[in-house]
Amino acid sequence: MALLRYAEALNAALREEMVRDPNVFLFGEDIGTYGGVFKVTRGLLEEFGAMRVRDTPISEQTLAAMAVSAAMTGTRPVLEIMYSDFMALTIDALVNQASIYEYIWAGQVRLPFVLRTQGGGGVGAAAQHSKSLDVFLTHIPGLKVVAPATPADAKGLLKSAIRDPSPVVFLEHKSLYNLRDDVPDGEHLVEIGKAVTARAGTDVSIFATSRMVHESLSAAAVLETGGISAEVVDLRTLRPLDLAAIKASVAKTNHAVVVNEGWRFCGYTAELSATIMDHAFDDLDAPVERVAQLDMPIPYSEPLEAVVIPTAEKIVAAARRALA
Amino acid sequence: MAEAIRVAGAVGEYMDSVTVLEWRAKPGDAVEAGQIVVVFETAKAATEVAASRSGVLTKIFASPGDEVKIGATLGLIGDSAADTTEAGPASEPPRAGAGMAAPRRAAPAGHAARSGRIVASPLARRTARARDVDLRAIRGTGPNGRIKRRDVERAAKGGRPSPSGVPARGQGSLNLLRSGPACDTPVVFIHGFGADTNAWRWTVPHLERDHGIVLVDLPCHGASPAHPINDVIDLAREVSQALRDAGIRAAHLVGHSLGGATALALPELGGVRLASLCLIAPAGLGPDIDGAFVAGFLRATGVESLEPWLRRLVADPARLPPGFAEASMALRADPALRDAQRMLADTLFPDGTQRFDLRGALGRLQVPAKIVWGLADSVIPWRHALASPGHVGLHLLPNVGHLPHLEAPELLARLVRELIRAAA
Repeated sequence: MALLRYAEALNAALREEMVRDPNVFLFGEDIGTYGGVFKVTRGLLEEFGAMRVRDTPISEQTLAAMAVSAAMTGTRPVLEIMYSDFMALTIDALVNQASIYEYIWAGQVRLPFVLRTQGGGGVGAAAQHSKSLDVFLTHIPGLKVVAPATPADAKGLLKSAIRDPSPVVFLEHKSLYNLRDDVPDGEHLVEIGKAVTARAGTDVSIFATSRMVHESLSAAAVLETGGISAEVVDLRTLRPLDLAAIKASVAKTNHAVVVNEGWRFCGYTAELSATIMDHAFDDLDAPVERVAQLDMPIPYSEPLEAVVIPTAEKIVAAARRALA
Repeated sequence: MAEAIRVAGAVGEYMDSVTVLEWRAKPGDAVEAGQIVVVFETAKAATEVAASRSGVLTKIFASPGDEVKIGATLGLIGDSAADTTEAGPASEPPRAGAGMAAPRRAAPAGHAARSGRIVASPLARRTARARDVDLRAIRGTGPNGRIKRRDVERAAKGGRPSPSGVPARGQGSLNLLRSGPACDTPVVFIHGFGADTNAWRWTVPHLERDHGIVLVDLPCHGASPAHPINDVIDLAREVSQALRDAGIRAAHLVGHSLGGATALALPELGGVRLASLCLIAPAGLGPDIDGAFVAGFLRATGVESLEPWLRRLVADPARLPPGFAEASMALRADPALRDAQRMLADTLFPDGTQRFDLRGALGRLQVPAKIVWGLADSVIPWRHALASPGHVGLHLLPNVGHLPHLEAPELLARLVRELIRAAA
């Protein structure tokens, strides 16, 4: 066990997998000489050389298509897209290539690549560098999408993603990179598609991923002072969903709050809320409460940004509405 | 026979409903043929509807914001104000907006506000089936009167409805009912002696669209627990604690009578920040109170003995809504509740005298404040209002008794809105 930052845990996962499997290689903008803008790939160029840690030009559309092609040839590429905002440029490769080739060629081709990116707000990075476009990716059948909240899960999920035979989009969060916590040494794998109870409770279930798990935990602490016992479920994987965990928690608390940092309209909270209705309707004692980003660009001003993105206060209010 | 004002079919080529935007006349107003009476919105434009005949607008069935079907009757024009029988083919009136006429909590047990449909959570329905409980016999304590599991379980145990808003924990917490949009500084209403949260049902619909609302049941009242109270400050302390437990750190307070005194005492405790204060015929500003009323009201064990005292509460007894005495008595049916209130009255109003004096607290107020008092109040004399300092606004209402929130709810809501704006 070591006390590592989230970025260091990711770095450890990359290093361990590159040592374990010579087919694993990294490419992306500024990941080599510069070590990545968030220092996730620091030291890897020096350790593994320029064949396996490649700096590329700014051309996300090409990079995504390269990841697909390289995976088809039998390697295990790990592509970094610097900001999830620019995932918009990769969508064609994901929706028209990566997600369907295994299907249309009847499994003769596998696409074991990982596309890492980071998104989210809360640091004053404004409208073009703060987006949470989770649903652009979770909408596509054939893609797995994970979004770890802790350093240990960051390591365990990234190792699992690299070993997965199919495309995995790995969503990191810019404001989590400095989060420090215990991380198991060596072979630590977290199964994709498995949620974890971040805090147990009995009155209301709060479902979240990534940074929103921490906002939800803060909310749960506030709710506790008012005598409300909130359970926080860290979904960890956005797709495929851990339906069993969701059903078990709602069956226990009968009240659900769903949280996602992305936009509300047609957003991830809409899918979660509908899923809970589909599978746990008779366990609900109140409508599912949603906490999501306001449907507008993220303002540069930090006080205004706090109004737009989900916060612990908004989660507290939603939990109280559910329990009214 | 009155003539119907309808949404004409021709406007609706592409649609099957429209939204009412505005009425240009009120019920009781005389209208001329050709005069615009109502405006509604179609997909393309606002459409004005003119009166088809001269007469009196006698009924309005759809409020601004309501969606109504093409062909539906929006209102009636009759020969006189009493002419409300519709001529011609009977047409089902559109469902009235929930906020308009319906009380927030239906007086009879069971049905949530709008219609005969039972509003219950899926879990409450499942629990009711499993425990063989009839949902129609239950009063819901959730938002919009929704029946939640706690209501079913209470009914299965034979108990009375009790705290909502936060999960019941022990016996200590006061009953809070929340409605309206979520906000950091809600409007908190505190009822008077012998009443409960139902006191605000005429006022709240005018405010809850734009403001977060919290209704409090005082100790020994409504669905709150009963225990000995020694002073107004005890009431204030319990309300303050209940608000803090619900996460409320700041509030616009509206208090009636004893609830006014409670509201006045509450901010000095420091637990909840006061944004503005509206006192309606408040206690605590002078010694007088109608002791005979308090005693008679407390003695009543049936509608016959309660109703004469209720009539004393208002300037014009004709303004008491139908069934008011029956509903009031039903809410006072529990002898334990009446005993607790009798003890409270003995403590706070011994020998027909207000024992406590909060004029000092009024003088120390630092936020916008108003006192609203009916000039026909026969329970507490309105002249107590004259004890207030210059920074407190006085609104003295002619032809209004001790219940401005029932007798002049729209005006009261307007005054509360003005206070909220002044405090912003």
